[in-house]
Amino acid sequence: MTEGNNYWLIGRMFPSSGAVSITAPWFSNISLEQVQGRVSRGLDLVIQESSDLIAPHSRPTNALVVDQALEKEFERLVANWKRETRAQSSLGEIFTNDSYQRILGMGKDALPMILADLQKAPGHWFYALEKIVGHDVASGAKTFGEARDNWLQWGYKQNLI
Amino acid sequence: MRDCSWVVGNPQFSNVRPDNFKCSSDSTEDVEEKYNCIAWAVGKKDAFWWPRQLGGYHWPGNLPREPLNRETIKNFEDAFLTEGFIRCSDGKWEDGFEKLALYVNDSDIPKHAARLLPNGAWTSKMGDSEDIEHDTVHVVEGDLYGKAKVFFKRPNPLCQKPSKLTTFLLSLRRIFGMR
Repeated sequence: MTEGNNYWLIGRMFPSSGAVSITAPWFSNISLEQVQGRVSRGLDLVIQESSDLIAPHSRPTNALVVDQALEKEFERLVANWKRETRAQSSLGEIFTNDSYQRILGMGKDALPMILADLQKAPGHWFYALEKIVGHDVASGAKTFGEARDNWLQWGYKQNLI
Repeated sequence: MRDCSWVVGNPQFSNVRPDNFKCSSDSTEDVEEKYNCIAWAVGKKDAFWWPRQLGGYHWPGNLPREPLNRETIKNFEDAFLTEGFIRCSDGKWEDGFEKLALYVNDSDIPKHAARLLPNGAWTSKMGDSEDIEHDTVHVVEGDLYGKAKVFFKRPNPLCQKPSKLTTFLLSLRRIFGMR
């Protein structure tokens, strides 16, 4: 894999069971032999170059594209943010944290990564999502779980998860 | 998960020592049923309380939602009132009352709340991390939460002065660091 290039994230491998979850529906018929065997973060299965496997005309326009450098930076910022705000109840402190603000600054490129993190664990992403998307998809949700469900469902509909 | 070792030696909690606090709940970092110190202080665990207009967070009634880091003591006072808490002069035990403390920073912006327990200790929810029980209201004061400045109370006939035995055991715990 070449630094600076974009790669298509197609699924997630669970090392304990060996099971593979294909999360991108447009790759649902792909065989494992077609996967180049590249492993990112030890878990994500990616195709070395998506154009080898899928015709350009059939590419979803808003497909999940993961820039490896951006993903690495995202993970670093998330770790900092969670460590620095773990004892905070103040949403002011949680949302104005420097690392969180830098993730916000990534704009729409951060959406797939934010939603993936939200899917993995219920973090305080609703503010960043609202700011990037432009409206509160979970407006009116009374509980954290309800808001999380609303945002994840929205992410599925937008092909961002 | 329950592991409060990160609190001890943390410069944000310079008053915390192994002998003046204990872990009293699991972390809620990985669970959807989130609550925070404000909810916990009024005895709730079903929502994350903060005056923000954002789906997933709770603030009672029609009380104002406020800009980040410009929240006001008055808004929190009104929120506590919806649960029957009124302002009082201090955090000393009073028979027949529950008490809570609101921590504010140097600009009087609320950052944390804790509740007085019948055993004379205080209980705090540490963000998405564990609940802790601390011997005095001052233990968690510092750079992160500021100071316990405003106190509230509400009638609760079940809240009676700790027995002499409880007080004695708490003293022993303080002296010997027993948990």
